[in-house]
Amino acid sequence: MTEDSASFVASLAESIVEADPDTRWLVAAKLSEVPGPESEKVLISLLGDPDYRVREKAVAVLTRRFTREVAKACLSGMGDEENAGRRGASVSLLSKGGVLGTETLVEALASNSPDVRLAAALALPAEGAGPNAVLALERALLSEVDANVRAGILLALGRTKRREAIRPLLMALEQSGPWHQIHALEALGEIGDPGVASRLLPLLDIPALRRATLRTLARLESPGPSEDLAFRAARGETDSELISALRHCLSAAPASTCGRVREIWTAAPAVLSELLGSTLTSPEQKSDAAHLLALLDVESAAFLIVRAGRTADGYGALNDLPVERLNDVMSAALQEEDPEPAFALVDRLKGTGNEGALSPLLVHPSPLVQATVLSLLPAGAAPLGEVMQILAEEDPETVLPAALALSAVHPQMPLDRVKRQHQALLDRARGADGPGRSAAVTALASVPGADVDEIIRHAVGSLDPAVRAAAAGAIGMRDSFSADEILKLADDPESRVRAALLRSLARLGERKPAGFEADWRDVLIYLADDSPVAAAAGEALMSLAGPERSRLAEEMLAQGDSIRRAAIEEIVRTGDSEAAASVAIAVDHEDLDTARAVLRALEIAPQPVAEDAAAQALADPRPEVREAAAELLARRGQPPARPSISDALARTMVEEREPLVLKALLKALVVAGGESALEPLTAILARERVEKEAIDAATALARRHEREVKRLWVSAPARAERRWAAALAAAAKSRQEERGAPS
Amino acid sequence: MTNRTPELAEPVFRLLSDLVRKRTGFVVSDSHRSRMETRLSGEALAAGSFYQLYTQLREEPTDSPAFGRLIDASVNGETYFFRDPDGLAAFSEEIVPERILANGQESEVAIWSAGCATGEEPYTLAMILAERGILPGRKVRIRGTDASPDAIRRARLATYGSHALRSTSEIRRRTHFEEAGTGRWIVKSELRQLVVFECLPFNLESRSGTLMDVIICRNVLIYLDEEARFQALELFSERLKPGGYLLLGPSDALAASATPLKLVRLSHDVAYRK
Repeated sequence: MTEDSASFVASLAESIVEADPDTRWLVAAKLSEVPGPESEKVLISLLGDPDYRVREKAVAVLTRRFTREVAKACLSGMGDEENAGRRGASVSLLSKGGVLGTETLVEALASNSPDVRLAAALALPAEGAGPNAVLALERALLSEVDANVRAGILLALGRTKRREAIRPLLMALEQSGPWHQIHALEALGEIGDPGVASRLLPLLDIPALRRATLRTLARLESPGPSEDLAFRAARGETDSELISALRHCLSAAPASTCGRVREIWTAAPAVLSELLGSTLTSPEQKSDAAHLLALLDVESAAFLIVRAGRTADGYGALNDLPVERLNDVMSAALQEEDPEPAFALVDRLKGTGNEGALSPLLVHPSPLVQATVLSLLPAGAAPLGEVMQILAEEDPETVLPAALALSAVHPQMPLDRVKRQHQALLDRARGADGPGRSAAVTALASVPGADVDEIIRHAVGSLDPAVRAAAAGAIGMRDSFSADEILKLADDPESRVRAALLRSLARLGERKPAGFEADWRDVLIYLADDSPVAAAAGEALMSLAGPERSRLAEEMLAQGDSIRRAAIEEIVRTGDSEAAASVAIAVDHEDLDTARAVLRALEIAPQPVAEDAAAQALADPRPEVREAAAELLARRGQPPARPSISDALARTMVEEREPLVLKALLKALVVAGGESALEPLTAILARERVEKEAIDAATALARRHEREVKRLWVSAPARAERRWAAALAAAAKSRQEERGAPS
Repeated sequence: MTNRTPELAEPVFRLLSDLVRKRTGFVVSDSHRSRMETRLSGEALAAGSFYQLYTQLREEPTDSPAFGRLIDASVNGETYFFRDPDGLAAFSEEIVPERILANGQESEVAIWSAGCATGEEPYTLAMILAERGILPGRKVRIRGTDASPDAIRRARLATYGSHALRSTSEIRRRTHFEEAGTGRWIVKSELRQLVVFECLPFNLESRSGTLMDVIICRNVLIYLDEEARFQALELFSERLKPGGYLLLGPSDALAASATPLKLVRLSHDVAYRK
């Protein structure tokens, strides 16, 4: 430490003595930039600050410079009987302190104070704790005399999520009283190894443990206990816990098990229907009953579920019905005013290639459903008469999807139908102003033909601003409009029309149809227009800038928010990598949307520029920027040129607390993850529920780092072990398929 | 001609939901992604992509038709007639009679159904006042507001199907509605005339607008983020007449702990009084 920084820290330390909380918070923030034991000492003292914000700041700063001295101070802070704030901050810091933090918390389990031991047990283990943490907890459990601390240790064993913790937990089940048995059951649920389900079944006969056992069985999602539970249900044990456990067991069971359960519990349809229809049943219980009705494929289940109304997960139970029952779901949804059952069906069929089966929903009373179905049906799947009828109804909700459905054709479509669809659109676009005309003009934008050009020219002169805006937007997809013609129209009194015209100019600038000439200087005057127009002008300017784009892109950084963002966002569409590189400097721009726009533009920038900016953005304090950086790496779709990018991803994952950023990081791992990401990913795979993105990342890493994953997975926590095994199998299968594929 | 349905990628869904949250305070749940994708696919197709649609909407004022479509696609206003009988009993048997006394026989009683979705609640209030004999006869004005233009459009149509009437008895159905064909019912015109609808999110409401005797905002605050919730409660507090009542849903009770209003226990429900 230099003399200067020593005196700086000393002056800061002095300034906190009688300062207000805001000043103390600022001191903590300032000290984050000053390394060395002196500043560390001040920060440690702030862990006991009377204001929680100051303590939080001190914890945040010390988390990033967690040393043995800090750990030691926290251990002593945990026992500060005078200051609850310090106790809490110490535990919080230790739980974020990685291996060293975990070691210190384990050490605290040997404290003389039961309060300290309990606090340590409740904070243990840190995420990703290994087998050593289990051993330490097991030892502490054996020697612990305080009942509350023992219970805390049992739960901590569960939170390790490791298979090694199962043995001491099962022992606790056999040797303890109900208080600890219930905690052990909860811990087993946390670990989630379906293999222990059969060991728990005998506990169902012990009244004090029955509820906890059923709750654990529900979390284990093992099909094994299904039949035992069904026998109990058949004997009249139809309380909410048993119904929930049976539902979760059956959700993991093959159809044959569901069939046997149906035979065992013959009263299931009556019991579950009654539960579903009762006003005394909670939404969660209704949800369980509805799922069970569907899983057991009870006759008329779809109607019962729909008629009962929304449960805790809406109409999610409809997804558990077998495919053969989709017609029932359709009929039930059509009988309901509520659009939700129809949407449940839409969600189920969307993306399956079987969207055509949704066409009966076009007569659903809800326009929301009609609009949704129209936008999903493949070209030609909707009955023409119905689509034309919907267009004629002029409902703002449905006109555009109906018009777009009329503009959709496929090569095998009968010529007569193509003509009728086309004619219907032309007729409406030539007709009276209204939502239908705007929609028809928009839908015709991509239809070639001089007659369509004529219609659009006519629509631009309409008295209805919505029709003019639709026509102005359509111009961007035509090749027959000159820049002069567009700019002449751009003195329209409606700002949305002017904005649409400038955006069309931008689209034409991107496509450059033959004979299209435009100068970026012509749009400059619109930079001083209303916000939507100015933004569109920024977009057009960038599109038309040609060889001057890089220079102008830099200059756009000095413009107002709307123009700056729109201009940067346009860069990707121009494909100009040099211009993209020229805005990289603004990756940490204080305006969030600008920083995000820059990261999007970098998708087409040269690799070193994009990677440097991504690495910088991954360390940005704003989660949205970190997320955009991860998305950039995923979108570029190429392995990074520098290993440091993979390390930066891994580092960010370890510290990341925002679920959405974590998701984006996992997507980035698929293309840019290296060996360093294996450990943080294992910690994520150990969770009870994991996103699809984590599984995809595991599969990708298992392909690229098979040997390392094979070394790692056998010692991973129980759930992670299973998921790594599945990832290795998926990776092997895809390799095999590649080898088998014809070259 | 082809029809390519654009995909609403998760990051762009986030951008759109953040935009809605910042402008209206509504937190859009992840389960709305699919709904938003299908409901805005036409607009996205016209704009070029969902991201381009986002960049356009970002520049649009909150009360523009284009932004209204985004709000429509983001909020879920499921409700029905004669929901919450306890709250309705408190409203018609205790609160309104008290307000009539407090204001004087000739003065108008102003009621605001804030976040009224498709209008079932404000119409129910009119119906229940008619059943109590308060209407017609007294001057009562009911205002329904919602952030969703589509919901307000439907509220003005006042035509409903069986789902909205699932808690409406046959007698009430015959008393307050007329058949509109194909199993649908329309609220009788004398009741329709009592309710004025406006499409306005809370954050665009004037703090100094007409003072209200009763504000009813049930099961709306839970969909708002913390800041918007706080601001909405401040707004309600400012827009109540002295002695006026705020009725919240049971799920909003925690949010209401921050109001400067006084919690009062009525025979049928609890309410907050200024």
